[in-house]
Amino acid sequence: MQPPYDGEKLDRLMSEAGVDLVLANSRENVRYLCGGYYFHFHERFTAIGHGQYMALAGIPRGDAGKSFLIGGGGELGQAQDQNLWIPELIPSQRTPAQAATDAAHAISARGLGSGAIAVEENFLPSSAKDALMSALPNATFVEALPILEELRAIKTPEEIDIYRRISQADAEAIREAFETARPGATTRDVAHAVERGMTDRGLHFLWVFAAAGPGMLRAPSSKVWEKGEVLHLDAGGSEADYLTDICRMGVRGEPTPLADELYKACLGTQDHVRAEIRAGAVCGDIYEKGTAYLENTEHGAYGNFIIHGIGMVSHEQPYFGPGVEKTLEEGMVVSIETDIRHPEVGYVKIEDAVAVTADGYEPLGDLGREDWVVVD
Amino acid sequence: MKPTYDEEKLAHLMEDAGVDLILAHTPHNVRYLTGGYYFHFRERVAAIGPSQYLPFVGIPRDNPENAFQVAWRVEASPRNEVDTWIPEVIYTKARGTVGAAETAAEAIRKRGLAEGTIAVERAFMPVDAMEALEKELHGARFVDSLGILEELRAVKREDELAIFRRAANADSEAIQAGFQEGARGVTTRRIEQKVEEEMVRRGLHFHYAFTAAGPGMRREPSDKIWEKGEILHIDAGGSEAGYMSDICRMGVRGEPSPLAEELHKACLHSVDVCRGAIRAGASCASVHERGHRAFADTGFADMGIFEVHGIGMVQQELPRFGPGVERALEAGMVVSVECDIRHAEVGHVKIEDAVAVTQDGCEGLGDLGRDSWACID
Repeated sequence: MQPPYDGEKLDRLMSEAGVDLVLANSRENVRYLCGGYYFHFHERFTAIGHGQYMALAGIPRGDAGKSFLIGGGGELGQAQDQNLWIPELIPSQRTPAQAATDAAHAISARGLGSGAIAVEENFLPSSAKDALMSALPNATFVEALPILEELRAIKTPEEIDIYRRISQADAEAIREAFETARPGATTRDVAHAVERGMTDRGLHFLWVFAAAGPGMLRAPSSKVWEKGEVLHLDAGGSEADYLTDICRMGVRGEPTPLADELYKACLGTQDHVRAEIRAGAVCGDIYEKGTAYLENTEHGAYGNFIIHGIGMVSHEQPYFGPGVEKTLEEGMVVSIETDIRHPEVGYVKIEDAVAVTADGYEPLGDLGREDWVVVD
Repeated sequence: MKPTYDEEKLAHLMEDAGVDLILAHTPHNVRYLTGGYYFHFRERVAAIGPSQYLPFVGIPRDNPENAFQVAWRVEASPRNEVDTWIPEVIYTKARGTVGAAETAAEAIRKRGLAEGTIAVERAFMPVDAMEALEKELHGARFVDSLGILEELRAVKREDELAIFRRAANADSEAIQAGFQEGARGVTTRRIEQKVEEEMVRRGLHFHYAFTAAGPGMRREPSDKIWEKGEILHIDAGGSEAGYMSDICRMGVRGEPSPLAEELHKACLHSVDVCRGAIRAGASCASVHERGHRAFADTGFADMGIFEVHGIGMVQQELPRFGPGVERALEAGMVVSVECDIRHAEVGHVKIEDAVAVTQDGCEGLGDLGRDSWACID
């Protein structure tokens, strides 16, 4: 079977980094390399027995047909059912050291025991690294992150399709939570409504920040969303490990003129930045334009502007910041967020996602971004 | 504020292991040591930017007033602090694993423990964080904290048991709702989704559902439709506040065949006998042996598996059961008892229960639906 990702690109990135084999263990990268496959039992928790479940996907450069996946005995049926493209699934024990030892044997069997192995040093457990080094004393280990992040940076049409679906579901769940929040509802109640709304729409819930103003407490709590208060719901969920992250504003009663002004300042910044997004635009320029716009509103002192790529990892390629020369490419997905934390009003925030196209962008899940959700 | 865990027990365990400081970072141990706190934004997803969220909790032996917690500034609202019993919360400057480890190392050095014995979670600690700790604290000795923390968590408090009761009930109810969904003739994937919806509706976070519609042995949710005449097991887990529930119940579309009924009774009997042996003071070996013997007596043991294990914030934690395990059960331990039979003609029959050990027996957790089949049209 053919790899589901851009095999040529991976080979090129590995060549440039002098890497013979990529050995990924983070859930996101294992899933990406496996074409969406991950053992469903351990998707949401890993700790078990004396250690944890740890999958390891090994992809040799230029020889994807010799790829392997270290996993668990219980997942053979799922792998078969979902047509996992990786030719060899090697069942291991649920300790990272044993999984790593089994990976080392698979690497040696492929004649790469003295090769350069790229691992995820900020995810690989140290007990696993020790086992790899002891079983592969002649191998060299390098960091896999830049290779895998670059590999994932441009989304396929199928991935963009997932984005359309999940962003819409997220935005709908947020709207529903605002609209069903009865007087007396706490931010924890509203957060739970978001979780239910996501689940009912096929998203896996990840988090929700619920800041009822003028307080700045964003963690869901027993704080009641009172009459006259703004509430932001900044919520994320996932499908097949692709993340959505959206923030919308609600208010109980009408927004004050000042609150409305803050909202417009956020929205203005978002719109201004969106207009700059297209394939070929420079990430540093976009960042500076957004920052400058927000500063020029009257509320820049309380404001924050952030823009980042989003995919299986929240904050991935493309990265934005002063002087970043990298240009956008078609198929990248970008999250844009502006907030103003005003002592009298509270925490006003809008967060959107867009997909970069050849001549602009496609909005993802725009439902509810243009205006407050006003509830009684 | 005071620690919620058993301070004396932790001090003893650390002393026995010759450990000066516990440095925990996994969601289960951070939650346990802080008394339930974990940054909700990172509960279900750790990766962010070019690294991942990595909190640390450091507890010096005999000296919890010098405990510290490493957190992100964004964990606290702009006007508040992270609120746990831990006296010092240190906000990292850099967001990655290395930044967190360097912050923890500095806190350890300040406490005069730079050359001490530090217990870390090796099966979880990222390589680069471990290297940063070793570099910053090159005189320290690092050992594994697994045994200490597992033992510390082994006996559950009443407030933890209350969570288990709720979580197990919610799990069992969600499973029954999953069976009901099958009346429409739906895929096992739809049944999994229904179980997730019903868990969430009851305040549980969904973890997984195995859905084996038989006679086939496939357990993963798929496009397979649960057909009339087929049995189905739903083996599903979720969590509340990090405490896990894991329950399996049986359903059938129509009526179970006499053979299916016999298999169900065999599983139930084995689990019942095992439960009957559970009480404070009973040795883990004897409980294990009773269950296995009962299963062997049914005549189906060569087609299945009988297992007993502790469950808590970690799947298959203490107490551990097996031949020769002399350890005695204690009141407040939570135990999962599971028995399955994989029969070529019938399919995968399985019962999994959870019980809390009491002085004179055990308390069933989420027993709803265990005694009979959910018969669905």
